[in-house]
Amino acid sequence: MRRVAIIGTGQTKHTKSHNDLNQAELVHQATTRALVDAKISFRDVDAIILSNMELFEGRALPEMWVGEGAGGYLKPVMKIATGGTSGTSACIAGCHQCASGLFDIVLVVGWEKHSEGATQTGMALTDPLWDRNIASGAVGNFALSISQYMAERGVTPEQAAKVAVKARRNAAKNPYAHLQMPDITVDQVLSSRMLANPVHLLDMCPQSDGACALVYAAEDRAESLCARPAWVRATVTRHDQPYIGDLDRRLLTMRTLRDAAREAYQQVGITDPLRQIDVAEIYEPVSYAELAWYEALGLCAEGAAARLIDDGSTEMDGVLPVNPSGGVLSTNPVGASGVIRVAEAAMQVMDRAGAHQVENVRTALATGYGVYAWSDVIILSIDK
Amino acid sequence: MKAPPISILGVGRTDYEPKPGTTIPELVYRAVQAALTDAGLTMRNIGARVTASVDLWDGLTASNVMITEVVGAVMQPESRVAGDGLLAACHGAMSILSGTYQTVLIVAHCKSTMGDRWGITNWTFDPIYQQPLGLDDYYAAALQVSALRSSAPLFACPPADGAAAIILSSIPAPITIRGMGWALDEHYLGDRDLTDSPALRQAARRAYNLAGIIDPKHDFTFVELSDHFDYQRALWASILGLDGFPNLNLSGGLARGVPSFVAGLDCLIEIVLRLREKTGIGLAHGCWGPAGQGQVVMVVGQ
Repeated sequence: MRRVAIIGTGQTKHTKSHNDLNQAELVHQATTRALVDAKISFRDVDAIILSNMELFEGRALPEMWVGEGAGGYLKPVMKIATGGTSGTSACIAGCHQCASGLFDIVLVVGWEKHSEGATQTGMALTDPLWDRNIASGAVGNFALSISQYMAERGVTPEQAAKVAVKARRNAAKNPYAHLQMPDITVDQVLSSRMLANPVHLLDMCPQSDGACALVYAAEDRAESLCARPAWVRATVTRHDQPYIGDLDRRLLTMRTLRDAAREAYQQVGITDPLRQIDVAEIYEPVSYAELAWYEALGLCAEGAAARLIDDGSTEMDGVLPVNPSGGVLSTNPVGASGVIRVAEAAMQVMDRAGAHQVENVRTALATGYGVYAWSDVIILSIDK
Repeated sequence: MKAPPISILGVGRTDYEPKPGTTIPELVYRAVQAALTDAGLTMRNIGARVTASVDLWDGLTASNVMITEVVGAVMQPESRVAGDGLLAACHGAMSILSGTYQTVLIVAHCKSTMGDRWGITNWTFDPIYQQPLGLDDYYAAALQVSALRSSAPLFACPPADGAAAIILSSIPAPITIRGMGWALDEHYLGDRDLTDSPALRQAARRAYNLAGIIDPKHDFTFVELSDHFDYQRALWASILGLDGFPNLNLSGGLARGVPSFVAGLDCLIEIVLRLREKTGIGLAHGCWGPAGQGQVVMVVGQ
């Protein structure tokens, strides 16, 4: 298998409404920035993978129009879409295509322009017989699973609010993040509008407009083009049941993430993830989910997640900083969110994260979350 | 193509009659089970899946959600290409070439009788210039026919419901993938020369190079082209260097009623079935989007 590395990344500013850029222009801006970062031009790109959840904008085959923004004219362009995991699925697909030997340079671009559609309508287009009535949209179905998680694990709203605070404070150091709130407090989160008990407005991710791109290069090209590339060491995917009622204690077990992480750690030789991983960019659509993911990722024992946020282990200066970028809680253009996770993890490994750079990163973890309980796990490293 | 060659272990498909009483997971289940039976495998032998479907045609966000169980993706890897099934096959082959998986199941589905067939395609056009004109895939085809100065009436293949599946593997088998290529054309119809398809030229160039095809008319034994409209068969054939090629669309082509997005994979299945009867090299073609904006070509051989 050919080794593959990320050699450049680029993002637009993520915001509530990009009235200044259409979808193709958003993609073009992120792409150009990634190409500049990688020190290559459109001509060097052999293939393009796009990621977008088209019903959020009410489109069909959006790559037809938007593909040109990524420089896709007469190039092999493929759109990957798997719900919230779209971005990480696209990153995994791009990595595999680059490793296949058919392409040396592969560009991955994810985007979403929620302001042009009705996100809740898109989310409601699930199974019409059962789930549409009880679990449509992220807020409602998370409220169900979070209640169960709180009851069994004893996690409090204050502890979840600390996750929300960490994310928005970290985002204040990330120039591309959507919700930048350097002075946000736990009380502010707890007194924000209740969406569906126990989820407050500030516990939830926003809907953002934005795009994110990254460039993969195959072994030789990566080494000649980039002094400190982020090598892809593991790419693992797990999907699960289509009906929410069939998922056994969804947040408590999160068996897809648990299994994917276990396999990825095994591939890389990680036995103590909390200490062996230097930074994590995980897909947490709601504050409580981050705590549940700590357990599934094996960062702590079952039921001990709240301690990691209480003692600051996952803060910027903790033993394992989680989401220095501000995460999905601060920025969520769905089709781009997974690409952002991988791009931010790569930026940390490449030492290009600027004000939210963690020191001495050798190994970074990125995850994707989608549908009810689908997971992708990607591990990047300074070591080939 | 770089070693190891990717082999096609099994193929399966439903019939494509309109099926108002059959759910999409049931259609997909039938195609998948047929492919597994054909390959003599069980779901345990499948390492990963690449599905192909498009959300607006299903009326579902993430249209692969409802088929997770029937493609065997519970606690297993799956990815979805939002486009033609032949494109999903290309991606599946590459994920095997990358060394990540040994055996990959490819499945495409579409129930095109569920929705407003042409109305849906209006949403493919950019929302600023072309969509407000009311363009859809039928009008785009009419413009292409007009550009070709053809006097033949515009005939679209009938709407259809169904699913198709193939199983790819690095395990050696008689029929292997020799080459593949795909490309996107310009989006704005006014900027395109509708009498040509540079995207198909580009896709074919890549596939022919990988497969060592020099004289298509001589090198190919069978060719199956996605002729969503009657006029497209001659147009694609001419671009592929196959004017007057005798064994073209022996299946009857899409005029027999093959669902969108299943079409390219169905062409591949047709080729595989024929190569089992007669040794040779075959070409399968798929296209999607207005006037064939997206083009994909795969060369397989026995």
